[in-house]
Amino acid sequence: MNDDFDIEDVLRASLAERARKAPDGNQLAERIIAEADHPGWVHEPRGPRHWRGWMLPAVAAASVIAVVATIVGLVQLKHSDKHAADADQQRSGRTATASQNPTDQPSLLATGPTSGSSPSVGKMGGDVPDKFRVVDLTFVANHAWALGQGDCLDGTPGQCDAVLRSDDDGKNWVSTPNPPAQVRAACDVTPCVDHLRFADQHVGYAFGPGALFLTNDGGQTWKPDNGGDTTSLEVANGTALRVTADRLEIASVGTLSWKAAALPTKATVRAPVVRALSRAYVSAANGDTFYASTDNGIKWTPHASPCPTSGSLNSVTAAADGSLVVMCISSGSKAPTLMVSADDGSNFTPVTGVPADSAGRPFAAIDSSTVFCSVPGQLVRTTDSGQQWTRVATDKTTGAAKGAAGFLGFESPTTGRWVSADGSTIYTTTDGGNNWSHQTFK
Amino acid sequence: MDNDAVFAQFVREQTATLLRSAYLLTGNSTAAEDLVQETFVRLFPKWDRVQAADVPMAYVRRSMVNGFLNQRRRPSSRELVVDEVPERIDGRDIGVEVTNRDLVWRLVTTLPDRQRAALVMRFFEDLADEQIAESLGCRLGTVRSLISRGLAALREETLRENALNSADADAEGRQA
Repeated sequence: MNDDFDIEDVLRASLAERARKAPDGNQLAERIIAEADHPGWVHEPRGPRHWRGWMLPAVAAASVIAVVATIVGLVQLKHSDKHAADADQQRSGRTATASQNPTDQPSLLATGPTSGSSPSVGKMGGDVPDKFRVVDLTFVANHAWALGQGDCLDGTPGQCDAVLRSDDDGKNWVSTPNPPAQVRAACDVTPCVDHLRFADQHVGYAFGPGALFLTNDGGQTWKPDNGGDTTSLEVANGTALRVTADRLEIASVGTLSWKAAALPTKATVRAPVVRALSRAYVSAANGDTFYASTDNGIKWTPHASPCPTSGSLNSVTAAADGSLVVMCISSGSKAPTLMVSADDGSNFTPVTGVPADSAGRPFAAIDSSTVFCSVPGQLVRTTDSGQQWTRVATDKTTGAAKGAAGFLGFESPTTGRWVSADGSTIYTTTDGGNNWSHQTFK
Repeated sequence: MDNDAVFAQFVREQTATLLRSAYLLTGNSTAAEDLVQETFVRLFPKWDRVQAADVPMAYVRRSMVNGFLNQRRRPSSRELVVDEVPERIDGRDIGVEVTNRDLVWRLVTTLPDRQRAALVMRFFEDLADEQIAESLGCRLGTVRSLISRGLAALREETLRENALNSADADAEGRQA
């Protein structure tokens, strides 16, 4: 650290990073409420040790995924008051403008078990465009951002780009300013934004072909990166990793000071770069090799592709526990092959019985034996490395007619999201995929 | 909505926020949860008063900070236990940045309690001086002084630590 460093900036970053390690508070809140119902509670407050037994698993789980939260009410009000003015300045092209009155936002979630009656459809939040369709989604603790398109709020015919934010785990949403680029589910223009990732409630990235934008204020303002072609980006534990062209780069979270990642000389890569815990993985551009990091992207180790000789590496994902899952597509077989490594890519075991129509579609994993695949209209899961596959959710919004989900991912071993093929419905599990609730944009 | 329901709603909405601040004050998850829990235990019997406050969250935060400061005044509570030991990372720029954050956090945990509380409220919660003064129960000038002295201490110690590390690295280089 040189003499002219800004201690305030470092302190802010340090506190934000540390706060991500705090428990998420959900269990504590319920515990407090439950205890408050106890007649003796107010007279006999619990001593500190009473809590430690049940807290351990919560601390362990939350330390993986918990992120910074602030004074939600104050920040939400402050942000919302600024939305309209900021939005007009920030948005480009045809953009959904939002009326601003957070107190008027009704809770209009349509939630219920997937297996129950057909989803009732409700509009989420007062200033969300009608027919909003999710292009990409990112959750950090109870904060979420959704990138997408919807009907223009000012009455202009057609679709407008929109970024929505939720501070209550996706129950209610409000519009926030867009990054100044067009939004597409499949970008056919440049610059174009098709992905969002947030490190905490302040720091996030919007990116796509020819575009990378950084926000340090929760999406109120977006700063462009000049060399910004970004096809994949993931953030965790203080570092951001991105794939730009065929290179992997690293930066501190919240900065645009990208440096080449420490891969072997002349190594080229292809999207996606995936992360879980301190693990990160990316495939070589030719698919023959992949690179693994166990220290948040600082050092990398090459490994040979686990795909059979007749197959090619199609995609990779990181399980919630840090395991690596590789999807291989074989020329002689319709069904893809999934290979799983629980030791950072040194050794792989196959997942058997993978559905044929999951090839090339989103997949996710909780650990080395629990894998989810999206197939048209359904989400299927194995918990025993493929010996049995069961349907765990059905896309009742679009069914099988429009193909499989556009998004599938787990934030923790218990919490995962799945988005319907048309982007209208977010399915959420909080029990490792056994049950899924849904939230549908009108 | 009855008092219990109002209390429950507040707890559900604000516990996560309070917990993160408590984590930064106490330095570890267990103590943070204890601090939040004890704050609600203390306030529950007088929840009407909390509700009547202009900003109930400010009332609760003030109570929590007071609880933290009072707790830390007890001789047996001086030790600050952190969940993990910051690692030293060598060499590359990105590693240095991460290390600097670790170093600053480690130094934050060594600051006097009121300085640390003031820094957390300013640089994590983004509170104004007036709000910090209310939470700490002190005057504006005191808040500015706490923050100024806290930052100065962090800056001085960071530079000193880095100078020592550089000297160590030079010495190792000569030995090699």
